[in-house]
Amino acid sequence: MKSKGLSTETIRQASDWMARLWADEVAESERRAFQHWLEQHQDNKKAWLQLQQLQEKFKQLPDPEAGRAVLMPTAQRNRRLLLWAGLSLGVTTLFGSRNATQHPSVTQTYFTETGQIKPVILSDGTELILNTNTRVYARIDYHRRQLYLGKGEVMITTATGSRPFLVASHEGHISPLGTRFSVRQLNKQTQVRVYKGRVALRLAQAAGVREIDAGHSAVFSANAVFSVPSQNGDHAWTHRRLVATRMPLPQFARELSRYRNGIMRVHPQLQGLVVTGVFSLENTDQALHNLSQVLPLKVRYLTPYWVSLTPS
Amino acid sequence: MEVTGSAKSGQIRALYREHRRWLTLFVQRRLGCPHSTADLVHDTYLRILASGVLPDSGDSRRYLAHIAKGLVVDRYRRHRIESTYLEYLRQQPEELFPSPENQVQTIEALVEVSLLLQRLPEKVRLALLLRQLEGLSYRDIAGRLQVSVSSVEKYVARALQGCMLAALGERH
Repeated sequence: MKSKGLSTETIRQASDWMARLWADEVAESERRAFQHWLEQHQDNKKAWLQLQQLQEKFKQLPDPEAGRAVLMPTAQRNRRLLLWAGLSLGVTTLFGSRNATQHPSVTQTYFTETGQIKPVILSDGTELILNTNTRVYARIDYHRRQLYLGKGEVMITTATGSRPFLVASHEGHISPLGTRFSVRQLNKQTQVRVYKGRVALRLAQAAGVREIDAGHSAVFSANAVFSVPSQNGDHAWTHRRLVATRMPLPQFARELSRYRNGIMRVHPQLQGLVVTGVFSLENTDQALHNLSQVLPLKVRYLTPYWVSLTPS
Repeated sequence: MEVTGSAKSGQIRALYREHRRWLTLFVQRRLGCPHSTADLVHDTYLRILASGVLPDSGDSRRYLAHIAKGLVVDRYRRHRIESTYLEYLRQQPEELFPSPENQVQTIEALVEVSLLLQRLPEKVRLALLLRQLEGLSYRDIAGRLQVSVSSVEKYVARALQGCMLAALGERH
């Protein structure tokens, strides 16, 4: 089965040597022993060369960052979890002692794929609606209720209860005071929209508390809060609809592309168009088709994953 | 494809005639989509044609099913890698977008590397990736994986061995 006559044993030895020579400290005697091994047999040299060639494949990944994102998703997720541990006061020990590849057993994970919208009811009665491409970690115990938003967007309607409730994002904490609100993880920012009641906001890298009342929204980074006006259609996604009121086309495309895999491009000549209407999120191809009926544009599919909106 | 002599190509034609319909149903149950199904059935026969290895007459279905199943798994892996990569691209500034050819090359390279790593246990795989993609020292990897430095060396050795066996096995 092993091709080119290399025995499993030779392959094992070559692998052991490579792992040894990559170590942080290698003694001179070990280097000599390796040279000796290499010259001992033709096969040893052959196995060594093949192993080296194989490692080139890793070096040839055109974009190491992409390699990390695709091949090490768990490592990334755990880095975020650790961040959460750092943010949520007093729970660091829970995570600190565990190995980096396991979830803490007390944490429940809920997630949606691209295009999915899913309701979830937590054990304390809190209702969540997960928007597309979302991951939420929830920990509910006798003392506290904590949610961590890893990515995406979630609508939260808290159940009444005396246990403190806390939602953590990358940039800070949100504690609701009997409310319905949504949290969305943006690129290095978090967006909060409050529909009922009030929430208190604590930033990861700034002192003080900001309160946000029903009917208001805020976008915050780790050290600053920006208010943004709320719009009528903000929570339409919970009914699987996208409501646009004079929404610039590029923004519309960004919103819609959250619900489909792949890439959506808007031609520069179309950047000035605005969209008004109600679109279903159940079928984004249909939504694009409907868009092409009301605006002077064409929907071109280069592949199912690559859509361009071009002037008609 | 030149490996097929006339006797063999006759056998392949028979394999196609007698089993295509059944194989299509078999694949469609797993993939759902009729377009991908047609592609994959086609690829199954191409694979057999290219390998030049034909099943014994009583064994045709089992053989076809085995090859088709392997291709279905490959397809899911590729799809997962593609969509994770595109998701990653979407978060990058548009100026940094690689050309379509570059994207295809990256996806190919990622598929190839993930094939080498697929059978390895999580920590073994991570140890090698942290060394090769992030350039971390064994000490740093040990900290990241919460294991001893000597375990890291063992993991790396095992990962290298696994990659090599996967690479050699693949050609056969």
